[in-house]
Amino acid sequence: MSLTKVSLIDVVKKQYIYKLKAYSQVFMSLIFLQLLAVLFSMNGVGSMGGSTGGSVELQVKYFSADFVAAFTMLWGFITAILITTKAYRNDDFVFVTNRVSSNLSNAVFLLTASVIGGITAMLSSYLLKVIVYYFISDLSIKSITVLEAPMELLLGIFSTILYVFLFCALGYLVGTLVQISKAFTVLLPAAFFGTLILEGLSGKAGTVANVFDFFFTESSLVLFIVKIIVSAGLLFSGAFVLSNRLEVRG
Amino acid sequence: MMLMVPLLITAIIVISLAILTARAVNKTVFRKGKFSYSQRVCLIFSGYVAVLLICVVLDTVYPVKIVNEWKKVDTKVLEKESIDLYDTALAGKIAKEGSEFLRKKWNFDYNGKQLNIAAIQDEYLNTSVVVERKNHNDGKIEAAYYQTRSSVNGMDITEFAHPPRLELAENGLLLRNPKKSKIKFSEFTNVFSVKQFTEEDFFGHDSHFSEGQSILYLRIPKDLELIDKTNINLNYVE
Repeated sequence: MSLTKVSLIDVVKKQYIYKLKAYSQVFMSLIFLQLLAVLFSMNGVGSMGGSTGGSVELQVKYFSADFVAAFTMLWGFITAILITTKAYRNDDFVFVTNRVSSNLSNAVFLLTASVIGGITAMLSSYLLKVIVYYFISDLSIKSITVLEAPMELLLGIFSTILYVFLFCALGYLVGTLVQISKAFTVLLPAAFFGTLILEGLSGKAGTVANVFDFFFTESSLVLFIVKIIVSAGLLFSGAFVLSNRLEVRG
Repeated sequence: MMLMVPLLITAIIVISLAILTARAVNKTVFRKGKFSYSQRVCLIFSGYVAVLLICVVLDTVYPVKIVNEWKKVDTKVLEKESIDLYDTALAGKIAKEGSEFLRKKWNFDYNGKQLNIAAIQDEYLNTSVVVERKNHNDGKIEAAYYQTRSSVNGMDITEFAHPPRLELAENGLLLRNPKKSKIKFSEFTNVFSVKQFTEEDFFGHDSHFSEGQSILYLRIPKDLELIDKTNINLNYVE
C-alpha cells in the first residue's frame, strides 16, 4: 500500500518515457528494414522495355518507396507483437502499474513508433532517388522535388503513419491473443493463410480482399482517417479487454 | 565533373557521420545498463535521419534531370503519320508526300538482270521494304530510308533512331539492322499511400511507347528481278 496517490496520466507518461529508451532496439530494426527495402527498390518496382525499328532499345524503370512503406508496416506489426511478450510486459513492473497504464503507454509508444516509421519511410524515397540518380540512370521522365509538391510529401507521411499505426494495432491484438494462449500462434496464421488460399481457389473476392479494398482503395482522406482511427481503436480496445484475462504477475 | 561535387559532399558527410557515430558508440560501449545502448541507438538513428535529410536537400538543390526539354508529340498524330506513310509508299508517292520523313539515301550502280536481296541471317529486320520499278532501265538502284517519329510518354525520341545499313556486295544487296542506341529512363512515382488519394493507378505505370514506321524504299530498273533470300517480305508499289 502506498501513501502517495499517483495519477494514471503520470504513470503512463513515466512508462512511456521509459519504454522509448528501453525498447529503442526496435528503431535499429527499423533502419535495417528500411535500408533493405531501399536496396530491393533499386531494381525498380516495375519496368517497361521497347525498341523502335530495331535501332533504339528503350528501358523505363519505375522507382517508388512502396517497398519501404510496406516493410515499415510489417515492422510496426512485428514491433507491436514484440512488446506484448512477457519479457517486455514485465518491464512495466518497474513502475507502479496496472493493465490500463501498461496498455496505454504501449499504445502511445506504438503511435510514436508509427510517426517515426512513417516519416523515415517517406524520406527514404529521396535516398532512393539520390542513389538511382548517381548510380543507375540520370535521365528521368518524371520526378518531383519537395518544393514542387510539398503537400504530396505531407500526405504520404500522414497516410503512411496511419497505415503503420493500423498494423501496430493489429499486431498488438495478435500479440495479446498469443499471450492468452499459445494455440493462437498456429491458429492465426492458419486462419489467415487458409482464408487466402480458399479465396484464391474460389476465385472470388473474399474477406482478405474486402479488407484490403476497405483501406487501400479509399480515395477520400477524411473517410480514410476515420476508417483507420476507428479500426485501430477497435483493435486496441479488443487487446485491452483481452489483456485483463492475462495472469497476474506473481 | 560538376555532378561529382554533390556526390563527394554526400560521401564526406556520410563518412563523417559514420566516424562520429562509431566514436560515440565506442565511448558508450563500456558503460553498463540498458540506457547506454539506447544512447547508441539514438546516435545511429540520428545519423540515419541526417542522411535522409541530406538526400532531401540534394534532391532539391540538384534535382533529377527531367527530359522535359525534349519535343512533345501527340501519339495519335504519330500513329496516323505511320499509317499514312505506309499507304503513300505503296501508292508510289513517298518521294513527294513523305519527304519530311526521309532519313538517308543511297545510290548504287547495277547492271545485272537479277539481284539477291538479303538481311543478315538470324537478324529480324524491323523495316518494311517497298519496291518501285522505274519505267526504264538506267542501271541505277536508288534506295531511301524513311522513318516516322517515335515517342515515349509523348516525347520525341526519333533522333536516337539510326537508319539501317545497306551494302551492295558481290552476292547482292545486303541489309543490316541499324546500330542500337540504348536509352535508360527512370521514373519516380508516388508511394501507394499517396496514389490512392491522387487517383493514380495503384499498381500500374503509365508509360506509352509509340514506334515509328520505318520503310526502305527501293527504286529499281524496270527489268531487274529481285530475289528475296531471307524472307524480307518485299512489297511492290501497286
